Amino acid sequence: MEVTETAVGADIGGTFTDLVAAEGGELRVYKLPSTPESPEEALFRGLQEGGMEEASRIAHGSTVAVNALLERKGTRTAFVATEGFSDLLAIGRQTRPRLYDLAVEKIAPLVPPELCFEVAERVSSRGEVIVPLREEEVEGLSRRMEGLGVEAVAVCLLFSFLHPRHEELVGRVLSERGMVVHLSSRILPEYREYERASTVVVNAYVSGKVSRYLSVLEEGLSGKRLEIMHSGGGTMEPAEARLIPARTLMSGPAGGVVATAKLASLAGHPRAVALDMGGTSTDVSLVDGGISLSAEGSVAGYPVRFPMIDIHSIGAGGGSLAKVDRGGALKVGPESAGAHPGPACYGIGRLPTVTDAHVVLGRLREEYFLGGRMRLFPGRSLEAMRDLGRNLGCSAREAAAGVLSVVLNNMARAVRLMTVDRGHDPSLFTLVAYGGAGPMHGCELAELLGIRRVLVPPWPGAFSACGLLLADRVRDSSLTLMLPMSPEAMDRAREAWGRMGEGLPPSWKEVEDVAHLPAMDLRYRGQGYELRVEVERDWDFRRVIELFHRAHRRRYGFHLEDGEVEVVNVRLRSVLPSNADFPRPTRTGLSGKKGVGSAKMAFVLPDGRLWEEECAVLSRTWLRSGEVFDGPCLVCEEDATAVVPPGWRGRVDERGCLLLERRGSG
Amino acid sequence: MAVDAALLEIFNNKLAEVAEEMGVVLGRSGHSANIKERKDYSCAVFDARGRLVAQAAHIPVHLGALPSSMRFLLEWLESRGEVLREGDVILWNDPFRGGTHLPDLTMAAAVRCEGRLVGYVVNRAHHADVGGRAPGSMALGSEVFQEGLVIPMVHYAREGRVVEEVEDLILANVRTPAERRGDLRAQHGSLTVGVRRFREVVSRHGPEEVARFMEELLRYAGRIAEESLSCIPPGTYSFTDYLDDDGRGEQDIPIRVAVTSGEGRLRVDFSGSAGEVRGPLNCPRSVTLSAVYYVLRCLLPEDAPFNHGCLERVEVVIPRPSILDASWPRAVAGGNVETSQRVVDALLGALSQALPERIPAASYGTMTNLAVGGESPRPFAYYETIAGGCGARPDRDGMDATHNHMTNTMNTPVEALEYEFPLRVMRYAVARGTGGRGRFRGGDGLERHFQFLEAAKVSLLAERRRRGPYGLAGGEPGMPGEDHLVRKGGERIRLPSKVELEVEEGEVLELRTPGGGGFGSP
Repeated sequence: MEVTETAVGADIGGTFTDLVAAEGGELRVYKLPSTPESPEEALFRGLQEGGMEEASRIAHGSTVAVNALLERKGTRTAFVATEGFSDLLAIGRQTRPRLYDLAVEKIAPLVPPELCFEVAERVSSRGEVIVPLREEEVEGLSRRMEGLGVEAVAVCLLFSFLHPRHEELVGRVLSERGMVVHLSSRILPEYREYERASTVVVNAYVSGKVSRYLSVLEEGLSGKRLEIMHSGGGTMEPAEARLIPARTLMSGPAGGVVATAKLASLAGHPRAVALDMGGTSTDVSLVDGGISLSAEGSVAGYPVRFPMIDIHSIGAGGGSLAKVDRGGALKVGPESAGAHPGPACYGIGRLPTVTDAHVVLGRLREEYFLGGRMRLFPGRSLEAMRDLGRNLGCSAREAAAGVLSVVLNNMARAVRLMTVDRGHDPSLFTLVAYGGAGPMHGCELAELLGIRRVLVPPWPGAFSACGLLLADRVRDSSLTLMLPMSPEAMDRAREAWGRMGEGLPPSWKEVEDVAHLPAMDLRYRGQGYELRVEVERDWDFRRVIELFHRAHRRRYGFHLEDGEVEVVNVRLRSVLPSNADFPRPTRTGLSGKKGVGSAKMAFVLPDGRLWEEECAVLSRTWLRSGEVFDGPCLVCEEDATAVVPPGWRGRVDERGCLLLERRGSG
Repeated sequence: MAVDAALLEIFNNKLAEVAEEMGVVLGRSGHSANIKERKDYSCAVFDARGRLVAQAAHIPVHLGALPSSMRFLLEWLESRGEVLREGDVILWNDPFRGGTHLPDLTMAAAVRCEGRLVGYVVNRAHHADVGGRAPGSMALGSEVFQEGLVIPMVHYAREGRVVEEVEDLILANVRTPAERRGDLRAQHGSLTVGVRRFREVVSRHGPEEVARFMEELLRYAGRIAEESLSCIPPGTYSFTDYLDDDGRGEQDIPIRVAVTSGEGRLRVDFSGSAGEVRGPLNCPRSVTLSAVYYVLRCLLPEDAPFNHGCLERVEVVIPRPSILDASWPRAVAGGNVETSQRVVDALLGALSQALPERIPAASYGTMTNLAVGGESPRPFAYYETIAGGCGARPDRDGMDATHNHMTNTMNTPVEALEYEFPLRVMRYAVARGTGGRGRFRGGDGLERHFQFLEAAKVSLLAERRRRGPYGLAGGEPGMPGEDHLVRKGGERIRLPSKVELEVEEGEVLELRTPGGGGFGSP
């Protein structure tokens, strides 16, 4: 039996660094401002100040890779392509990002034209060598690269996933000359040259920053086991993160979705919408039995085709700015007051935001805001809303109600598209509302969507860090086969799965309970897109076809009984399950009683009308499990406030989550 | 009132969402790659008087087509003294009744709430084949009949049930009936969802409120359009651009436009443009309108609502019959893909005189439609459009190798293409130096070279092979495109811009698309 270890989940965001520790099943949270210049400082200091230094395992979500990409401060990377194709990155898919903008710009390639190279070689779609790559050719290439300050090389040759030898030759020769080389056939052996090239280039581009950061962390955390969250909703070791640093791009938002999936399944609601609403944006993701993955992801406009949690993000957050546009409509977001100057109620800025609307409507109380540690200036909110109201010809309260209904409708649209697009009815899902602003909007958003159940986890603001703690170790492998489905194709797939399993890092091999989850990307011949189906290794090909028909019907509404089915890719997801349990919150309350007062506040009904009522204000930390309370009320805790509208009833479940349900739902 | 400003925004979003959700359902349930991958479809919501309220257009060429179609539908209903009942669906593709070209099929249904008409939902999708002489229904013909099956307005469904005889008639005339049936059903399903979602909005807010806010939305869009159009200095601005040829002997075909601006309105007059041509470059009126509305939309703020309120601020005069408002039974396959681009060039050329600080030089101005078909190793049909260089802007270079204006469809990946077809791509590169020189450089065109691994039939429908896209303010024109066939013996033949050929195994087709015009003296 394993000794209970202390693990810490460390989520370093742009504004706050959240540390979450689980000790003997108890949850502790420590939050401190981030140190964007050197993110590790806040982490080290937080561990110390939060009394978490004894932790033996640190699971970390980092924004280092994504920042390198967004700020375009990455490694100076060269790109090597097949002769005739060095413009792959510049051409992309030949489309523009916005249709009706005469000043539109295509996303600029990460590699400047003078660092794009070609080598004479060619492989056919059957994997045959048409033009062999000669070693002298690569030596010539390496000479051409001299003196250009190249720090990393990304290689993507046509059909290299069928015949990796040519890329390997480039890799060997350039490595011998001291260059760091990233091969597309190694990190993403899948067809579609532009997306594969983009992935390997992004990987090389962020590699320098990520690898330096990991070294600093490893040094500072000596003796602790470090795990890095990846975009696919699992963690990996630093060694692997160094090889495929691009997998850490969506490290941040992944944590919350993992936590949602774990919580939803524990709470018996396997179908959930994860709603993470922060200061500037809202991330929506679906959990249907498990997290939803997409292999069509892009980051900052660059395709990165590792399996990635499927997240839809919109510019709606607590800091979203409200304004009247030129035609007289009330717009909320996507511009945001961010953390600086922040909403008007922070006392610095004067522009009205969503948070100010809540203050004016009496739903955000100064005395409970961030446990009373941060001052709030309700007068500023009122002023800002009054100004907005003046533009609209109405009172500050009416303006605030307007802001709230617009932002709720914007969010409802995001959730509806996310569900309907994937063939689901949103009303059958449970909404898991977290992030600093999620619990304040959950129930009213649910009303708009016909959702009857909202789950608010403890410490909603640190829920993503909690997910890091709970995440499994996950490794994804893939390979393009492109074969008609047949017994032979199944044999080839089994062979590939075997090799992928053997390719696991050495530390995995000592463990017994690794689960291997094989999957196939299938399509009807002639289709330009594929659908992932989870299979089992020993299945007969007919069974796979049957399953594909069903998956296709579910997603697209039809199937082709006599359509020829093709295996495009085979995938293997290897999982080393985390044994961390969902931690229970400890009680560090605001006051000694659960009811801390009452206040007059306003709700926006689904038809847009304003409803005002004197309501109870409850302190979450003193609500015992099993306790039931009726809306309208507010449930305050240190890093968030849950709004429970009239017609809703709340209950605290055994994990300390607030389960809010529409009354009369049986 | 605050509530009104908020409700305006909410209604704007809700009706846009109805259109968007129809699009999602269509994209999700459509069978063909055209619909799923290239998103070649649009969905729209109209009010009870047939005025456009919201549209989800993924492709600019549909912008003007749906409002035109709606107008013809109402006329048709009126002429027959008919009303659409619940579950009735009308289907048509007739280019002379609001259609664009034959592969674009339109479906429409009325939305009723407690018996009362509250509006219409309409969608349109590009079907991969609707019969005719050439696979893909984009033949280089001289009459619309060669291009495929013409469908006048017919009931595709009555009271919720598909009229099977109608569907059978269509399926009997197309090359891939199973796929067509799937796409038709997907369009029907999308309308059903549109009707349901529209009704939900009505049942939540009541029909009067919805009608009031639809009216408000038109006014709202009108106000924004008025303000944006007021930035154009009053005056009349004229410009003439030319199509190279119609593939049937006629050359230097003028597209002439005079744009008159004043009081937040535009008058767009195409008088002086060429008459109808024998080749397939004729536009139905709706395609010309699409090009006008595309340019209008580029002048509006990005998130402005686009509905009847903006459209009515533009008066469009098109001589009839002409290449821009063709009469039955002219061939129209290329109007949509080629002439529409030139209409945009002419409009922008005129506007550049009024807004020299905003309007770019001409982009590549052709979709370079390539279709390859063959029998070996098994029957195949490949169709693709190829991007080019975009015009330089007054403050920056033009984009290289990117689709612009009336289209934005993705390329077929080289590896996908070689898996699927007996073709090998020898080169896919930016055609350096083809952008027009200038203070800001026009974008460079594209080179795409194909080797045929089997004998095949090739059809090419392209433009800007003689006259390059114009530059502005002293910028030089972009270089025209050039296409060659390298025969087996090594002979390299320059191809005309519109051609049907038979090629042999081992031969190479080299396409080079035009560069964009430059801006400012070099």
